[in-house]
Amino acid sequence: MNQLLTGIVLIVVGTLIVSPFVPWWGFVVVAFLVGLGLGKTGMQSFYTGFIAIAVVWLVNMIVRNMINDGILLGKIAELFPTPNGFVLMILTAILGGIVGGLAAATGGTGRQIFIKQKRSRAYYYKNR
Amino acid sequence: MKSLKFIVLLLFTVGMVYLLNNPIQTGKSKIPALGKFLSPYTGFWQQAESTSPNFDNYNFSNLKQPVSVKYDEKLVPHIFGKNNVDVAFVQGFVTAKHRLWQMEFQTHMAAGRLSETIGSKTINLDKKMRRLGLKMGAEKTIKKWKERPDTYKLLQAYSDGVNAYIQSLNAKNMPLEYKLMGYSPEEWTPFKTALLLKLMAYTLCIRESDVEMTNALAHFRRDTFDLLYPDNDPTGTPIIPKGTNWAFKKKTATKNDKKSRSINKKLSFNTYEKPYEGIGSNNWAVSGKKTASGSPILCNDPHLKLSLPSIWYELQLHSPTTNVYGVSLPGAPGVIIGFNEHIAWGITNVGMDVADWYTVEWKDHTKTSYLLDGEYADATLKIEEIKVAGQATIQDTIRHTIWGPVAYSDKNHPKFDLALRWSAHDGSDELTTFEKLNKAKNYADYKEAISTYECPPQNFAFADRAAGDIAIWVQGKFPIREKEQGRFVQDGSNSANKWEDFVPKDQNPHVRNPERGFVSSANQKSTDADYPYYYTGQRSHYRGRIINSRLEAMDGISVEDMMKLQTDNYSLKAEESLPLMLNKLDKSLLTKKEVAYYKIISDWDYHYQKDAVGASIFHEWWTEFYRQTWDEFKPLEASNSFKKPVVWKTIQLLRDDPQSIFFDIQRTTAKESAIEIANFSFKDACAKVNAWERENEKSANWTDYQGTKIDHLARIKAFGEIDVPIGGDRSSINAVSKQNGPSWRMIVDLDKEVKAFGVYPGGQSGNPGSPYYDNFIAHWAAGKYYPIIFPKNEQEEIENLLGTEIYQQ
Repeated sequence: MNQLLTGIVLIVVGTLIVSPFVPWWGFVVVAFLVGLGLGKTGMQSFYTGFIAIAVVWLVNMIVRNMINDGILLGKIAELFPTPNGFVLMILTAILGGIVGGLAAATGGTGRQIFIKQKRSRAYYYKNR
Repeated sequence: MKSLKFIVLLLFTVGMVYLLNNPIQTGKSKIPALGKFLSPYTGFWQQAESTSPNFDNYNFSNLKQPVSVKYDEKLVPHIFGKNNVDVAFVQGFVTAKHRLWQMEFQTHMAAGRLSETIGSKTINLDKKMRRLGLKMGAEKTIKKWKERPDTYKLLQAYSDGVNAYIQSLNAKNMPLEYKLMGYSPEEWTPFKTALLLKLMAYTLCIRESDVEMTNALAHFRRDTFDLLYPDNDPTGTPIIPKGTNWAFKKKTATKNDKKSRSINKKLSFNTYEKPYEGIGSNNWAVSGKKTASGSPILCNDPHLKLSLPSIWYELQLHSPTTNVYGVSLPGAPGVIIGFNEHIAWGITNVGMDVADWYTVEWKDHTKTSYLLDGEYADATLKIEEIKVAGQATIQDTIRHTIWGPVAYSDKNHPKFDLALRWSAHDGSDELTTFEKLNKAKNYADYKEAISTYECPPQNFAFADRAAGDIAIWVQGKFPIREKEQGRFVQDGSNSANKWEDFVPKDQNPHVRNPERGFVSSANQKSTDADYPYYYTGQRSHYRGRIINSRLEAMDGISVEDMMKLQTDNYSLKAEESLPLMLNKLDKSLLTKKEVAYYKIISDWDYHYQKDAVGASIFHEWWTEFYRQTWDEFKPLEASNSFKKPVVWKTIQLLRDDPQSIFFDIQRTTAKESAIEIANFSFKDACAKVNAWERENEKSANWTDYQGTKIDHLARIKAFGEIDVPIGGDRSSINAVSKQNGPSWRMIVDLDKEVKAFGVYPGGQSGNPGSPYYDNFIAHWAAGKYYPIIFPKNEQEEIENLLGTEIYQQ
């Protein structure tokens, strides 16, 4: 549980730091690296990335929407087959979350390979 | 196993990022790159502006001295500089900051380049713009500007300002439409300004119906043609009052050969949609004799297609030599309609025809040489490349003749086309006129400023504070014509049909301080029939008559009176036609519902007020009456382009000759008159209004029924405004129709201190995510005005200042 929380916090902080300077997909690299560093299983890493990015995006959108008094969100929601701005925000957060989750899961799975290799090597040396 | 999972996930992640990073083309529409567009860090959220705007200071090496920009509460920039070049630079920067996408979009439209970004939907529009020769005219205009280094310097500074803004853009702060449509702005150049002015010419001065008139003359006998299409409008009140003395020696074009003027056969060309339909304007100036304050008042409301972002951008430009306020065209330096501390001016469109069509008889199918004065002359072939988003580039060959580009071709006539001669093809320097007007101090300055003005022709109304002068000039470049020359398609095999010479500018119709104490124009005919030069064109009729009779009757005029007049919804067309129509109605034949509508319309006071149901019934009744009266055009229009007679002519026929054969309904064997048409069309109109009421479950109030809307320029529905609560009709002074209307209402009281009022249907910002995008619309629709803040200098305090920006080296 703690590890999940740490992962989320790391991705959130990393994303907040790099996002103003990188393309929109900059968080993918952050989530991947955190997954690689901490990930236990692919599934757990996915949750970590999903929650982190969905939350970062959602909070960001909520703040921007408040500053803008909702002027733009309603108009953009009309462009998409979404019934209103709220739904568009939720869907956007989920979309960001899925990409973040996949990136973290990729990182997490990568770590599993690495650990497995280390383990098998340790076993080899012990029984030589 | 683990590595396989890793690879699958990696591919999945990368694939997803790739998909979301690229736009998707589905059929004719393009979905923007969703990741980029939706991400709060890069996407549309970056344009979700704060409701309390931020202002920055800027450093540009171009500037010689510091310039300060103060934004008032409407987000109108008041630009204070130490020299005109710096002011032009900052005007360019500030305008681009608020309106860049619009500026570029409009010039892409003029250049026939919309398909580059929009795709195959606009290919025909692009071809049309290129064939009409807007680009050619813009190229010549640039050359003309370069001959005037002073004007060109300002233009270059303006361009530099726009480019300084473009250079500050990145993927994140790019205006919303670029993000949505997936492209980025290119460098701005003075050429684009020239294109913009040619686009205005396209909107305003292709007022011809040569093919339609040629077909009508070939179809009807001459006397019928003259009855249906009178070249003169005896009941209308001209811009220059009747009885004006034309004390000048008329110039004649020398080598006119009258033998082969126009074509006497029907032509099967499908004519282009006329951009001027529903477009018109009002301006007037009243002298101090007629005002309460004793000082002149000038008013102007140009009616154009309503759009968001608005066609106008409001601002003040201040330098040691200039202090001017008004509306500018995003993309051109200076103020187009406005006032300074000394004078005010306003413009309306001139209805004169300055676009003529000529036949081109090709030697053979290759269309490379054409008949001219008994020999074959070579056409210049130019291949135009039209880039199209999402598909291959298209080529279109444009053939240039001595007349101009060949713009109409018809598959039925492989060896016969039409070429266009249009005054907008010529280079002309309108910017110098506005630059001079911006700093004009009196009538002499104004006259000098407009003396070089050519295209699109405009009625320049003028008033000045110190001398109390009022004046109006019908200004433009008008060819000297033989009688009826230019009314019909002309024989292009005879070079004598060419525009040989132009009316000397000082002989263009004008009047200064007329007896009646006011000058006015509303796109009606320029002069009475005794003006020495022949001209033809498309003119409106009713607004001019209302304005002139109202101003005639008014005295002790206040600014409030002018506001009431400018927003007046009364229709003379309705008053002159409705009683005649009601008179012919057989009430015994009406159903219960129709009787109810009859009562409403009988009580209607001819005012197109928002809540007037009578206005909706009349609108429908008139539309049906007109359509059924001219039913003989339906079979004609199936094969050729025709034009139905004008409204005032139709009403005249209804009044003077209700038994006219034109009221006979073609599909019946019986002989009908205006009585039957009135009765039939009333029933049809009632059915339409009734159907509308049932569908919308409310009564047919005029505003809901007309449903005025303001489209986004690229017709992005969510960025436009629908059902604007406003009254008015094309025939009333407040000329609001479904998509056109007063694009800027201005009233300037030239009292000791100039007091001005203005409003336009839009907002200063072009960003749909800004609170300043459409914030004037409600005020405009309600017929209210904003008092204009016009400080004399930088030090003078601006109330409710939003912020100040400093621009320096």
